[in-house]
Amino acid sequence: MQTTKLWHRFCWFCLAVLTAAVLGSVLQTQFNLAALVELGVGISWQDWLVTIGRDLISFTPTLAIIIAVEYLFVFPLGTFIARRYPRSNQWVFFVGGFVGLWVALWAVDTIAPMPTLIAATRDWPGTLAIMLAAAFGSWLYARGRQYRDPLMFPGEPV
Amino acid sequence: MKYLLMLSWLVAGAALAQPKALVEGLVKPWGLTELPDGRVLVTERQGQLRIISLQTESGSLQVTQSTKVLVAPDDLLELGQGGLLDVRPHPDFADNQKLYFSYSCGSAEANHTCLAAGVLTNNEIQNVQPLFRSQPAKTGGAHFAGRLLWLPDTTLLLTVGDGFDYREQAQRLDSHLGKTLRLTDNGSAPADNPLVGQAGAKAEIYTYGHRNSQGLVWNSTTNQILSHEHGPRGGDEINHLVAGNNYGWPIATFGLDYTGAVVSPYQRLPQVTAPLLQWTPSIAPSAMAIYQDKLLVTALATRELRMIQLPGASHQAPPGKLSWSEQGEKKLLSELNLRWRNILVTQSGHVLALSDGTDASLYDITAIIAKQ
Repeated sequence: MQTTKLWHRFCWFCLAVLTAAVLGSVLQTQFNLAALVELGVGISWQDWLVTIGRDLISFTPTLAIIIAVEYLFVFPLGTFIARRYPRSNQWVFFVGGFVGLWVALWAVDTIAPMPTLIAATRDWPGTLAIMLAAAFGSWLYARGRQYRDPLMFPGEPV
Repeated sequence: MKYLLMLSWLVAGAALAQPKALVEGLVKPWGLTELPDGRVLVTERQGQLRIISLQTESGSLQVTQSTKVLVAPDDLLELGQGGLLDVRPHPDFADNQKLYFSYSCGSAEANHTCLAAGVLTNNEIQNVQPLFRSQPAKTGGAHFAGRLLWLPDTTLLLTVGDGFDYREQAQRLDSHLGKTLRLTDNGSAPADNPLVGQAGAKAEIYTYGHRNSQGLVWNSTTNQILSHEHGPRGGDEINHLVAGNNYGWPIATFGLDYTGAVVSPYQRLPQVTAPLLQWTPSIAPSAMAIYQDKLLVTALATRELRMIQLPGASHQAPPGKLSWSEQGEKKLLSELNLRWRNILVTQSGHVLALSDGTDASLYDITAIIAKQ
């Protein structure tokens, strides 16, 4: 395989992980803060923004590791399906990223000593939100690959 | 000759400073207390109680007898951090021989922090009766808390953890999770508890807003109840408990979640009683005891004993800081590299420390503490 293709894939992999982790971090902050508001805590919009920023710095790396490991399984599988079944499209990656994160969270919660590692995923709405973030990152990777290293989706620009 | 003498003096000094293991081979010990007759009790989480008789010979403690007794209440659940937890003799133990136990009970899917009492007769625990069960049920084996403390008015404090996944319930008064409870010796709520009569509130609640409190001690000099609790990543706290007060978890904390996520944007809030002291990064405080004018706190994560100078009655909090933030603090026992589970200052003035794990020991650390 050409080095440029590998480099291209690596760059899109990193961008996909970063995008999904940032999106997931911002979403989980909303669930955590909403839980505090429900307890009667008044949170100013300035504190809300600061909390999003703090989570981007301190929580994003944890989520990025989980998502990166997830994508290491999802992307080869997605590529395999896309090449074997040319009628499939980038939504294979979207669904793969979505379901893959659920599996990754299940694995993490099984291994980690605490019942649920990411507090926002204690309930379905928060879990689904972060699954959507991972799905978006996975879809972005499939889109990005089309430029120099196409997955052979019919009708897609090569 | 002079050097030999110096060397022997150094060796003797080092030996004196080494803690002495009194009992070895303890399996997941948790509770540590003393009976009025001087016997020491250690709980093991799978449901056993060790009864240890000690005597002093030439200034050092010796074990004369160590007996294993099965406690295991019918509904005992040994799961994760749970199992048989604390033990305390009834204030009238000399007359009724009653022992009180905290433990986790139920199933993996629906469990509680529970209280039971039994009678110690001829090295057997008989007539074990369940007295209290926290509500609601929670899932998983995390954060049972379970520390017990008798107050001078012969009511009993029992700490109940937030169950980890249920942290918001620490602020809800219709739940026992994340609370310090005050109970009578039959497990009911005393009529003068702070929330008695408040609609929707659990009558057993004494204080709320706690995460996982495993330390309780009565400071007879200041007539204060001191507690400590585990923070998540940072934010371990020592608190002065006052009836009805809110201690903040999870709406105000100095800690972050284990993932690095912000639990709350606020470290302090007007409706929350600030801690006397907080530790970031966490030390994982597991128990505490008062020795003369010092507070001894055992730590799991940092594998040490913290010795904190207790402030006098006229102590004023430094402006803008936590009340005890400038108290002197020493780190001891770290050279043994052990997770420390509990500590006891006996009536005779000896200091015993309990290590943690499946092959734990009870140590006499009196010489080390007295030297400070």
